[in-house]
Amino acid sequence: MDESIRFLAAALAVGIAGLGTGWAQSRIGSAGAGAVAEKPEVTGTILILVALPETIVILGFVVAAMILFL
Amino acid sequence: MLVAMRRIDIVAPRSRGADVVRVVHRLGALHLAPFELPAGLTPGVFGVDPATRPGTPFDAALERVADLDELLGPRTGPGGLVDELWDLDEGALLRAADALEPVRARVAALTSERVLLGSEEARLGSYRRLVEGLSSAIGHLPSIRGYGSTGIVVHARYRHVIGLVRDELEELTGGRCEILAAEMDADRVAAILLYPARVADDVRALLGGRDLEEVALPEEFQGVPFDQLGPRLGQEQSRVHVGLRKVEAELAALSAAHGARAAALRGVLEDRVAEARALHDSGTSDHLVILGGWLPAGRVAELRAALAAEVGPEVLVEERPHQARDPRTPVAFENRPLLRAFEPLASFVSVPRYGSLDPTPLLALTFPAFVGLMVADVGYGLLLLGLLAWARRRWRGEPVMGIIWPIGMLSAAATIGFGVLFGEWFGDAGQRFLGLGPLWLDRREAIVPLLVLAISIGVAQVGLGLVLGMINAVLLRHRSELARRTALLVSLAAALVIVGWLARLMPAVAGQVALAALLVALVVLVATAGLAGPIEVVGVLGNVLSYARLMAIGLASVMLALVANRLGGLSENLVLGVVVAAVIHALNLVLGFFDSSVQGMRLHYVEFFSKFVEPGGVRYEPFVSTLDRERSRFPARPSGGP
Repeated sequence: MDESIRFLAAALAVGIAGLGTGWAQSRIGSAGAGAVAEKPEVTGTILILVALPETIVILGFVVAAMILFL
Repeated sequence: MLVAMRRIDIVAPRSRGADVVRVVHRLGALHLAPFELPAGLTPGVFGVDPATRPGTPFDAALERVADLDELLGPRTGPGGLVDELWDLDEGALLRAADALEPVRARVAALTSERVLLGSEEARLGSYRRLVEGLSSAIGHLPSIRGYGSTGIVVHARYRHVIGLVRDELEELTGGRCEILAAEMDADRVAAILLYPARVADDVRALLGGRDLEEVALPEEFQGVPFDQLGPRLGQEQSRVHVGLRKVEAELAALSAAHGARAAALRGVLEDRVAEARALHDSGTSDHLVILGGWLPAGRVAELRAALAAEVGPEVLVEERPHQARDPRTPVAFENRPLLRAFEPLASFVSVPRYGSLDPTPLLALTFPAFVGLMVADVGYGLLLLGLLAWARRRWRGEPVMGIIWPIGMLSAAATIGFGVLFGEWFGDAGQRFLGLGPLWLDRREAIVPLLVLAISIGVAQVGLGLVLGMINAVLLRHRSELARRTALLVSLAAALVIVGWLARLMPAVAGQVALAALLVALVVLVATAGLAGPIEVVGVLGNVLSYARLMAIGLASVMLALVANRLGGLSENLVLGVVVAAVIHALNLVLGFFDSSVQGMRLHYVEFFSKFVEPGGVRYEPFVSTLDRERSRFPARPSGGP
């Protein structure tokens, strides 16, 4: 039972963080696509902004790894 | 490294202004600067001369030659013709442009004819397909005098529209009409409407509001029996096709005969117009002209020598006192050939400020290593090398290959190197079939050691970024930035020691000292960056943890490779198994290199560069002529040396 709860907790840590990342990237991506269409010179900045929320899921992954392996 | 630049002013008699601009243009080293009024002088005495209009005698000629160049389309470059034309005087250049005028008129006429014939060919083709689609139904119909016809094409999903059109047409003509419909292909239904010619306009109005693709029968085919329409349309289409080929052949001959000259002349005329604008934007008094700008320090002597030789001793080149921190100074990179490919990546988001450190060498060292660490498969690395070798041969001479090839090659080498260390040859295929095990770690098992490795890389790179940031702050004399970055570095080190203390890996006294250091650092951060300062510590720790992606993406890559091998192995048919495995490996290869490249870039831009790169630099854009552009297909490079 404890083992299954541990796996569930790890899955939730990555899963919910992934949903959050996806939601944030969708908002930034759609706004960024509009910005790039009007000002192509901001492509680099938008690329960085789109990649920023990925840290959330990476942190979720780290937490999941800690739950599973520590 | 960033090239040392010098701000100079070229002072010459006004009558020699054009000659000075010409020499500067030919040299292609000066980044022009807007004229700044010398202290103590009023704009009325010494300013931009309003009498010198930017319009030049070359504007009209350039418009005509550019038009011809566009009409003739893409072709090989003008080659040595630019050298021949560049030194011509104004009159000779304008005569050269005039000489191309008959060619332009002929090319314009041929281009219009080509458009007309092309649309005619397409129209005949569509009507022919329509007639052929209906041939079985209309073959028996005779020609009916006084009747008109219209062809329409409807998407198969909207075939019911034809029934609606039939009802309205019957109402319009009192039943004196016919509609024949047949499938053209899987997606389209063709129909021919026959109706009294006097209601043709009404029929057109009826169809107009329905967004139907109407195919109008050419006038010369009105009244031709339907059974003869197909062959007649075919004959007409062949005739138009022959005419079109003839026009295209003549255009190709004209392009071969005059294309290179038109392109060369266009480039030279553009240069002359640019020179006139540069002269207009320079400072001009009744007797003097001043042209200012920046150029690499190593080329000042070259500019002086060129001006002295080609204009004379009456030209002065005044070098302003060197200002290492002038934010307006343009930035040029100068690195070893292998590192040059990384320069566009290093300045992709923002150009570093003049006087700060160049991030290119660090990027060249760690970006391929990160890609290699994430993909880490000998098979994938070899495949990438093969693809790069093919692409290099396929697009030989393309400037973009000068960037992709070195970056890709280093990344592939790192991928192979880490693949050997982790024992991965197309996942576990090498281990299973050739017994090639890991030399260091097995990524499938060593999850925690790899996570620690990834975060350790993060600590090292973020820490290095903060140290470089401190050096930059010293170079640019930003005291508060120096204090802020030092405090952040101390915070990072203290946080690590505290974690070690809590994990009982370090003595209590170390933890207590670290705690005290962290408190001091927080106070310094509040003093230098306000209340947002302490939050930056959390940001730095987040940056470090962000490097966990090096391990996470690598783990996803190795797992997908294992899935490919397992799924391939499930099939009892050897060929099918190999195909399944190859498809998934191909997907993993593309995903692996694409994702690891994006993540590698992100780690540099967000986590690393943000600690030390001073943004807001101005890119060095020298006043380069067509001569330079033709001599090298790569952008003109500054040179720091003589």
